[in-house]
Amino acid sequence: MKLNYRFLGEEFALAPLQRTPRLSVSVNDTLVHVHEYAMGTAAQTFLFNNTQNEIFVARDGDDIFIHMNGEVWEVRAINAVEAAGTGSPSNDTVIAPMPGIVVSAPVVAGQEVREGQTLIVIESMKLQTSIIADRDGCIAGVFFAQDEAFDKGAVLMRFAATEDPTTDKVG
Amino acid sequence: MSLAELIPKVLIANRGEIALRIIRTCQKLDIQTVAIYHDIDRKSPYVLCADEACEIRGDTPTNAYLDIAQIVRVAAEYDVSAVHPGYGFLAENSLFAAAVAAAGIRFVGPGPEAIRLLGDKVEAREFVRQHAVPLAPSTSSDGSEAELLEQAREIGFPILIKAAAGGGGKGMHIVHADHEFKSAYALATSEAQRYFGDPRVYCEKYLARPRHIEVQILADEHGHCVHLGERECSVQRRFQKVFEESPAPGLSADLRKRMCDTAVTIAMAANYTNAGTVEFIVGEDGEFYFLEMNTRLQVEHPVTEMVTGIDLVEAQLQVTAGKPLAYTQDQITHNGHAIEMRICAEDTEADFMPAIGEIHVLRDAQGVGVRLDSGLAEGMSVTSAFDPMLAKLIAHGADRESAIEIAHRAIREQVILGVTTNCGFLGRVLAHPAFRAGAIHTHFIDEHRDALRRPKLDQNCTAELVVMAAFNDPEFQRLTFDTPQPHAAMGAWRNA
Repeated sequence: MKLNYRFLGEEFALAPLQRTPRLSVSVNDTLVHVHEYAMGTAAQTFLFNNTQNEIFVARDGDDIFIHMNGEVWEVRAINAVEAAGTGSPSNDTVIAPMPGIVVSAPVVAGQEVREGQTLIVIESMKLQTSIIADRDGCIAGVFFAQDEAFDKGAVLMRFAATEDPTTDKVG
Repeated sequence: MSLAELIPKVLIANRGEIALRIIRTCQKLDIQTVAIYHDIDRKSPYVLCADEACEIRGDTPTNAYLDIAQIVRVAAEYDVSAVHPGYGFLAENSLFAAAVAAAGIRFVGPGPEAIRLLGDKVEAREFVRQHAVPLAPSTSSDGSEAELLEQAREIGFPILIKAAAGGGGKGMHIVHADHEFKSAYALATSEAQRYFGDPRVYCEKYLARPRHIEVQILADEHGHCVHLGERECSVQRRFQKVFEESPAPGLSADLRKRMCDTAVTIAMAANYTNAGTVEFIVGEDGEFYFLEMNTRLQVEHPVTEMVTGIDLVEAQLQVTAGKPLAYTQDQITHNGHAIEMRICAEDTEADFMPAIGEIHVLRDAQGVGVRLDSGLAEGMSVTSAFDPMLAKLIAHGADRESAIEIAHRAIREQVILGVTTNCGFLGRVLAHPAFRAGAIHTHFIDEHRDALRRPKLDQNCTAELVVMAAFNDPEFQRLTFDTPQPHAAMGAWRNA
């Protein structure tokens, strides 16, 4: 599977190829090896073959802004836009329908949840919204804690994949 | 009596970085502050930092800040002793200064009469001409279009058409030849009407590669006037300054003295009080001409503060309180070199088109010799309601070379993500050999346009940038790290 991005007027198709011994991604016809990476919310470091990049990143929907060596670059994700809201049955992610903050997150990673159960309560534009599980399953990760802010499109939590519930750690 | 006893409370009739900058000095002096804000600025740092804040309304945000009656009413309601207008908006509006005075409140600036005299560019030129100040050849503003064209021909093209009531580069147009005059005249008069409510324009000789150099003056109500040296403001785009520095590189001591003395002469002749700036253009032949006088604090005042150590807002408040200047001309010293960069929300690759957006990530430059005058905060929206200037980054070093080094490091360190800014461009100007050599003039940016473009990335760098972006895309994270481990995609530093 490939994901598409637009950068400086050109389109790039990306496909992650392997995760060990290092992460390799094909970018059109170029292979990029990511030897090391550290990703804070904004400050991030990536070590490629010959270069180490200290960058700052911000995401606004599909637009990703990167500050590197005093210049800012803008990359846009141009994949089909996912339906906002709770994750669909074919989708393991719970995506924020709008920017906001977490009011409460009653579910923890590793917990089994039932369809209709409240997964997370968010507040956006002074309105509280409960995000409800649309299927039974195991929660693999909760990525925002109470009072943390998120942007539209942020992955709030993730179900364990139904076909492969084993945990495979990266990092 | 202390300044805080004479002026216990100040209303700042402005917004953004300049409102915050004025509040800082008031806090230092234990003077209470009142901010005014349109709803769009409700969460701005200057509103939060002021002791009190009052919402003002208008059919547009700009009109709220231009509403004299409303602002004077707020000033009276909050029982302030003085109003500081900052720059822009009502700062050079003599009616505002008069309305503030009529309400029994002090106006931090010159009297309405001086603002009116010097605010009308044509009247100001006539005034300084009487005092033997050199002027570039120019026309009157009274004649018809045909008469103006006739006078322009006598001066010789190229000429510049300017608004009589104008300033800030608005309503200015270059005319290279006869046939361009008609359309430029029409455009200039309509812009003059729109921006300044006064359609009068005049023509001035257009110098080929001039420098824009201005002199900061301070005058009290006791007949004392001093200058605080000059500022070089030649690097401009669209007739608006981008870089300012002090002292002006390569200016001879003789020329500097003549310009500074002329500025003091003009201020004294106009019975000017408070802070003001006399702007000159300097031709390639080293002759200088009066351009205009700005009767307010300038955007670029920090460079003067950095080299003289004088807080200009404090000096303004002292003069407003009726105190004599705290220093004679001999006591004013200049230390090192300062450079200011105007950080604007604009796309330098698209002819400096203003940009809007939300500031998602903000990391301010720091370090020895760095000053940031900013009104920004994360989460703030940059809208099209106001001028695109967001902040000013100022560097101070022992000499010009070290000030450039500090400025260059600082601007590369300044992170503003979510709205397009000119930060990268500012860094490229600082790195340009002609800038470093001090070979600057008002067409510097046009002349070096190609060299100042954003650098091309090689294929590897392009691919790596896209990969780094993808790592921040939730879809890519899901595809690549299908691990259910929380924060796996956030990846702790990993040794491969």
